[in-house]
Amino acid sequence: MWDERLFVAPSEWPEEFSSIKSFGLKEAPSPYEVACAILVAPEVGSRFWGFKKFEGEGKAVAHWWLGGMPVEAIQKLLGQKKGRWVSLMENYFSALVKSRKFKLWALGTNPVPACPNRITAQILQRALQGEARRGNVTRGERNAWERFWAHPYISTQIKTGVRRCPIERTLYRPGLVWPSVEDKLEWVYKDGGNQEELRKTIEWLESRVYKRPKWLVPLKFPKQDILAL
Amino acid sequence: MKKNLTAEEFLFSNNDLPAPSDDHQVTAEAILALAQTGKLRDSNDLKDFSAEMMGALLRKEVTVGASREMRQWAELIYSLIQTESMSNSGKEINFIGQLVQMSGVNLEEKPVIEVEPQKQLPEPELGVEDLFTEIVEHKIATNE
Repeated sequence: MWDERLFVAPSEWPEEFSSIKSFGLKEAPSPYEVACAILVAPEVGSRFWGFKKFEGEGKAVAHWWLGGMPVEAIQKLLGQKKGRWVSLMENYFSALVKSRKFKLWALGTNPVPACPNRITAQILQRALQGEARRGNVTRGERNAWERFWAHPYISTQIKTGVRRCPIERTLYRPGLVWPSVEDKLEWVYKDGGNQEELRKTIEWLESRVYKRPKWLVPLKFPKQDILAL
Repeated sequence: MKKNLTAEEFLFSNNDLPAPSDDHQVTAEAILALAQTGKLRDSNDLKDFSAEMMGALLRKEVTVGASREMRQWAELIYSLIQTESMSNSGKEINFIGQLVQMSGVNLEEKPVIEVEPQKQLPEPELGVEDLFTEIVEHKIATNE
């Protein structure tokens, strides 16, 4: 809370993240877009993305990082080799990319050309809007998914990572993190009960400034008289 | 006597499609030739082609297996046409709206028809006199 970067999605993927930062795509989603997609699942059920087999530690590190926790704090928490957090995140995102649904979302292409019928349109609309599936998946829906994945329009783009009809990716859960520090500061400087609580906390922390680590970028409030003007 | 149209004739007749009749039929060969000419340029051409295919299938001029293959081919052409038309339309395209339109799901709230409850007139309070009158009237009615 003392650091102004907390709950602000990083603007770029880390340099050390070269092997996975593009997700195998020519135009990778930004950390903010990914944060809105995975910090909280788009629907209540945990099986929306169908992620399989990933390390819990990697998930925790990736979520901390997407949630704006400074890298130095993550490294301190892990208390091990310097680059370990990167390899943990790489392993986690490598597992995520194996989910076809996640890859489709990350690709960010218009799926309409691969929609030959109503069922396909329905399942895609639900998936890309993050709607919960009521009841079990029917055989028709399962077949429609398989045909959709096998469609040359989709399979080509997923393999090459080039999107033919770019669209804006769905922000499933906007509001979990701020997209930039400026957006956060805009909220912080507003009048409100939460802001007042935060101000008091920061003031309390500032009274123990000797505890502040060097890497921390302290969150600062404008002075009251400036606010009053 | 059947008048068989060639693929080129069929294409030229697209603006003024003949009404389906025994005299004007498009044979499977003509349809195949049409498919091979590569002149299906937009979704309207594809619609016409699909209609002709359906007609030919119903007239049993093409087999079901061939029809299935043709359908897959037509879907591929549809994808190409759609891809070409959408690749330059920008990121702001409302693809969810397109999917909703295709899926036929109505996201709008269903209108609620408000029905007013039937008005019930308050029952008049009965006095002793009314009770007497009621009994007398009942007796008169039953000829007692």
